[in-house]
Amino acid sequence: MTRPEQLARLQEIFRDVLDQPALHITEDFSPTDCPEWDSVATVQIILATEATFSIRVPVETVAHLRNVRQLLDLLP
Amino acid sequence: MSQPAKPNYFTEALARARSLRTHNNWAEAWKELRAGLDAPADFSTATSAAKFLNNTPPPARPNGWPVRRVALIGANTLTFLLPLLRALAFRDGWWPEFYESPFGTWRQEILEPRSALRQFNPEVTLLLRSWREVKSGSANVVAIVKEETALAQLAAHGLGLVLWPSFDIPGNNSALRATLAEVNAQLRAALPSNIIWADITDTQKMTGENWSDERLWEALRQHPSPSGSVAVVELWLSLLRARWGQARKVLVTDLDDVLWGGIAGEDGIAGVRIGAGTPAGEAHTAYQNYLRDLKERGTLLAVCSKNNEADVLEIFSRRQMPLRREDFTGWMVNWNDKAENLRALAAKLHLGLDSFVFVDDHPAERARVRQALPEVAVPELSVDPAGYVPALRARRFFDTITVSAEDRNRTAAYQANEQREELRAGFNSLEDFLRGLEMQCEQGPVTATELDRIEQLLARTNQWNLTTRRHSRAEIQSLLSRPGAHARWFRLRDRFGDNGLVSFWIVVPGADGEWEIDSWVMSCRVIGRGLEDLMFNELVSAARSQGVRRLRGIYLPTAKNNLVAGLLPGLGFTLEGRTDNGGDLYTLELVKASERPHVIR
Repeated sequence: MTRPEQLARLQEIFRDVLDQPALHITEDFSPTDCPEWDSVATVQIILATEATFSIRVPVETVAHLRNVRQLLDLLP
Repeated sequence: MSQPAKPNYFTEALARARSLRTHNNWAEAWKELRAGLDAPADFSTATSAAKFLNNTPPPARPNGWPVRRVALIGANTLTFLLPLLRALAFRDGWWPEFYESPFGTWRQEILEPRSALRQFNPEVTLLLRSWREVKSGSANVVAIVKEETALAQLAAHGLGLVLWPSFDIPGNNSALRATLAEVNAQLRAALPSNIIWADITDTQKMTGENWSDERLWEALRQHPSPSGSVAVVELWLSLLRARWGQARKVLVTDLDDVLWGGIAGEDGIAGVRIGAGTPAGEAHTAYQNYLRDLKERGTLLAVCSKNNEADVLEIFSRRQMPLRREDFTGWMVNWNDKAENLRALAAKLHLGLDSFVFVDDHPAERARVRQALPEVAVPELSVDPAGYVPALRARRFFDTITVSAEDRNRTAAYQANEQREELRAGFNSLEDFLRGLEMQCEQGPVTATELDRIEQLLARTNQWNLTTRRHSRAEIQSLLSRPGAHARWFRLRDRFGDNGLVSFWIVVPGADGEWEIDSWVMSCRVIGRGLEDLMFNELVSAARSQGVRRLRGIYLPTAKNNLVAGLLPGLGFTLEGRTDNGGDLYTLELVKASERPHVIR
C-alpha cells in the first residue's frame, strides 16, 4: 500500500472515530485541529489502526500521539 | 491491547443513524443507535455511540426519559468510563448527568461537607478502585479495611445510591493478591447496609487476561483495559437496574439452532445436535446449562419457536439434555408471529414486556420483535452458538443484588399457577374457584429474617404497588425503628403449593392519631385472590389495638401500577386531595371501616 493509500485508510478511521463524515486529514492533522480528538479518541484511533494494519503501536506513541504522520511512519 | 473486530451489526446501525441525522430525523436515528447497541458492547462501539450522542443537539435523547445525576469518583483516570456509561445507559433507556471528581481527589470529595461532589447532590455515586493504588510493601489488611470502612460510612449519606467496589487483584504479585482478597472479604462484610457492593473481582474473572493493559496504564494511566472498563460499566448498570426494579425476569428462547443445533422438523429427533461429541452440540449444551443456572436463581424460562409441537416434545422426551419440558414456565410452540406470542405470554404470566429477554438466532425475528415490542431486550447474537452464553452473561440481564429462597422456587410457583388456571376454567364463579384453592395464610411482624425478601419485593414489584417506594434494607430498618411503626408480612399457601412470602404492608404513625400506609406491595403471582381483603382486616385490627383513629393512604401512579388505582376507594377510603408529587391522598376513619369478606383461612 502506498503512503497516500494508507492516509486514505487512516482518514476513514478518523472520520468514523471523530464522527466527522466529511473530514479531510493531512499528515499534519493533530488534536489541536479537532476538539473531538481527545484521549479517548486517541485510544480508539490506535485500536482501529492496529486492527486495520495488523501492527502494534508502541507505548511512546500511545502516550504522545501528536499527529497523523506518527501513525503513518509506523505502517509497513 | 485487544483488537476487537467491529461487529458489522453495530457499524451498519451507526451508519443508518448518521444518515438519518443528516435529515434531522432524530427519533429514528436514536432508535437505530439503540438497536445497534444490542450487539455485545466493546470499547470502540460504545465510545462511537457516545460520540454520536455528544454530537447531537441537546437534550440528545427521546422525550420523557429519566435523567439521573451520576457522580464518578476514583483514583485513576475515569475519563474512559464516561462515554461507555453514556452509551450503555442510553441503551438502557436513561440519561446520566455526569460529575467526575478531579484526578486524585476522591477521598477529600467524600470527606468535605461542602465538596463539589456533595454540592452536585448525586442520585448515584460510582467509585472505582484498583490494586495499582496499593503500595505492595506496606499493604496492611487492617489499615486498608479501616480506612475504606470509615470512608464508606461517610459516603453512606448524601451521595445517593453508592456502589462501593472491591479491589481488583493483580496478576503476578502473590503477596498483594492475598492481601487484597482478604481486604475484599472483610470490607464487604463491614460496609454500611445501604451501600451496594460491586464485585469487581468477579468482573475481572469474566474479562480474563484482557482485564489489564500495561501499555495503556503506562501511557495514559488507564486501568482497567478498554474491555475491562466495558465490563465494569455493565456491572454498574446491572446493579442499578436491580435496585430500580428493572432487572429482567423472563428469558424467552428459540429452539432450532439455539436450544439445540439443527432444525427439529428437518433433522428429526436423532439429527439435532446436543451434548458432547460435536463442538456445536457442546455449545448448545453450554447454553442449556446457562439457562438452567438462571432458572435456579429465579429467572423464568419460556420457549417461543415456530415448530410442530409434537416434534419438539419428542426431542424433549427422547434426547438427553440439561433442560426438560417442565423447566419452561411459558410455552409458545406454534406458527404465530413471535411478537404476538410474546404479548400473549406477558399477559399470561402477569408480567410486563419490559421484563423479557428474547433470544433468537434469526436476524429477521430479532428485528421484528425490536420493531414491534421495543420494551423487550433483544440481544444481538453471533452466528457461532459458542458466542451465545458469553454475550448473554456480559449483558447481566438477570443479575439481582440478593438471591432469596423465593427466587429458587419461582418456577415451581408459576407452574402451580398454571394448574390453578386449569382449575379456574372448571368453576362457574370466581368465588367458587377461590374456595377450591383452599388458601391458607400465615403472617407475622417483619423481623430481620424477612428483610431480604421485603427489600426484594419493594425493588421488583411494579404492578401491585401502592407507592413504588424502593426502600433499601437499611431504609426499611430505619422506618421500622420509628416509634409506633408497624410492618406485617403475609405468606399464602394453597392446594397447589406454597407461594412464599408474597405481600406486606408498612405503616408509620402520622400526626393526630393517624397511621399512614408507607408501602403496600403484592407479588404478581397471587393477584386476584382476595389477599388484600385479609390484609386490610389485619391492618384495621392492628390500628384499633394501637388506639389509631384514622388511616391515611396514598396512591402514587406510575406507568405500571394502574392495577391498584382503585384499591383504597374500594376498601372504603375517601379521596382527600392530591399530594405534591401527583399522588391521590385518601383517608379512612376507623369507626367507618368494615370487615372485608374473603375465603382465605
